[in-house]
Amino acid sequence: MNLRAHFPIFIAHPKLVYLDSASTTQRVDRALVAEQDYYLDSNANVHRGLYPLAEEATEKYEHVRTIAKQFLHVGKEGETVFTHGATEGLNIVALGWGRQFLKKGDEIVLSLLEHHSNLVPWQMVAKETGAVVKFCPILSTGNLDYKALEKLVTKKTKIISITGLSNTLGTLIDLPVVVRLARKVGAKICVDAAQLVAHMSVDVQKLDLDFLVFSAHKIYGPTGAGVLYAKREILEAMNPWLGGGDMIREVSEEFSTWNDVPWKFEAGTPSIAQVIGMGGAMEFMMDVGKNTLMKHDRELQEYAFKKLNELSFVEVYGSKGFDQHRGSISFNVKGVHPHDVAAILGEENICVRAGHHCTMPLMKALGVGATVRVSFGLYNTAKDVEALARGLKKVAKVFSL
Amino acid sequence: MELYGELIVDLSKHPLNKEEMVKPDLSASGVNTTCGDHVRLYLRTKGGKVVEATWEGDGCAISTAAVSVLTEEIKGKTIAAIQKLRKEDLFEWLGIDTLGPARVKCVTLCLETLQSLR
Repeated sequence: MNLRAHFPIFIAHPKLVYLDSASTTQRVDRALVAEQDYYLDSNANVHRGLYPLAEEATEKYEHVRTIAKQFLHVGKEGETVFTHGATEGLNIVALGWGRQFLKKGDEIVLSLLEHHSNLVPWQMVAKETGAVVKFCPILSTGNLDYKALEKLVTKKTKIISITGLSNTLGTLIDLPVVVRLARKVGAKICVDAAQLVAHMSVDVQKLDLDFLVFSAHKIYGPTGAGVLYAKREILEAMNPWLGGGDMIREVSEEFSTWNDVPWKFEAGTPSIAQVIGMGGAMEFMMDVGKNTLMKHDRELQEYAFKKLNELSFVEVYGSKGFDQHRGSISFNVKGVHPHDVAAILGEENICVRAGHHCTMPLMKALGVGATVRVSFGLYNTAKDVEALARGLKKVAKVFSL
Repeated sequence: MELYGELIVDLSKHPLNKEEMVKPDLSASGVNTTCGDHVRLYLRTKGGKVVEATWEGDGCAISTAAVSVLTEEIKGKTIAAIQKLRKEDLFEWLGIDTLGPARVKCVTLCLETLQSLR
């Protein structure tokens, strides 16, 4: 399977070296076609019209739930809520579930690896409810400090909300260990899988997760769509957090009653085309399959670490073994600000990210203000890694390192 | 045009006037929230004119070079003249034509901070 051939961006930009997939991926043909087909052939609102076109739109939209069920290995109907992305999903968990069920003195456990989207909503709900946010530290290897986590999780812990894969360092989290700790104290477990689902096949039943979120645009699908998985009994106990059309059963001037799950959480006209595009993206990921995905990631990552280690002026942060690492590599060029590195690489058509990557507490723990981050997708090849190494040599030359 | 020319690279490695000033007459801080660059400017004035200008902070090569030339060029200028400086003046001193929208703030942070001094 020629993976790169599935990404039309490389027709317009054949020399593009795109190493910023942790930020957003390039779009896969199948997602683009699905989205366009909806607009060209089946465009109507969902769940409303009584005419055939509306039924066709609804069918296409609802079919994506079946795909999402397969993609995440969901067991029951009603457990996949469509969102506008992982950030919205995490806000539903924090501001929906958290606001309803957390009380003063309860503890929310996060890790220092979290993206701001799995941190700020919890700070907001903590402020409102009097609950307390606790952070699990990381080791100098970039791995989670599991011993510290074991001490941090107590009877006071009501939820552990944690990334499955760090967007900044590429650190993989040992989720079964975290879930066991949560179960021991009766806490809920929420996984920010925005990066994880792009690099691993995830089974929410086997992992026994309560909540999981991801965004379509990080698995080669459109922006503005995502999935919140949650156990049905949890969703049924939760109040909706947004009110509007489609999420209600009955509305009178005095009160309203709620629709069934998952629609109770999908107020207003959803991102119909984007959700349908996301269906195409998930099907593509499943077609690629976990074995090809793992082989691709392993070869690229090991080659990238080898090439970066050859450059004496580059300092790499975080874990390096394939069993503990996927996707992103963070580094700095000694003595050069990350933005200058990214700008010089940009002049060579090499797209990387420089900054704090929406993980400011992690930057503080690493003792740096910012890093350069490269992150890989299914379209990247060994040639991209070689271009990166050449680009970094140019940075060294410009700054006479 | 090469953005990372000799002047900018040299100034980024050997910045000018980068030191704290004890008891300055005027001082101000600025932060670029999108990238984390920060600068603190110190001025000593006499008869309404700048006699000494120094700075502390951290930033990319462009912002380090910009604040270096700025603190050089404003020596001897009146506070009123400083208020009239434009980003194009900084571009000229740095020997660059223009900057893309993502990097222009690297140059203007020190100027905006300077002009916030009252």
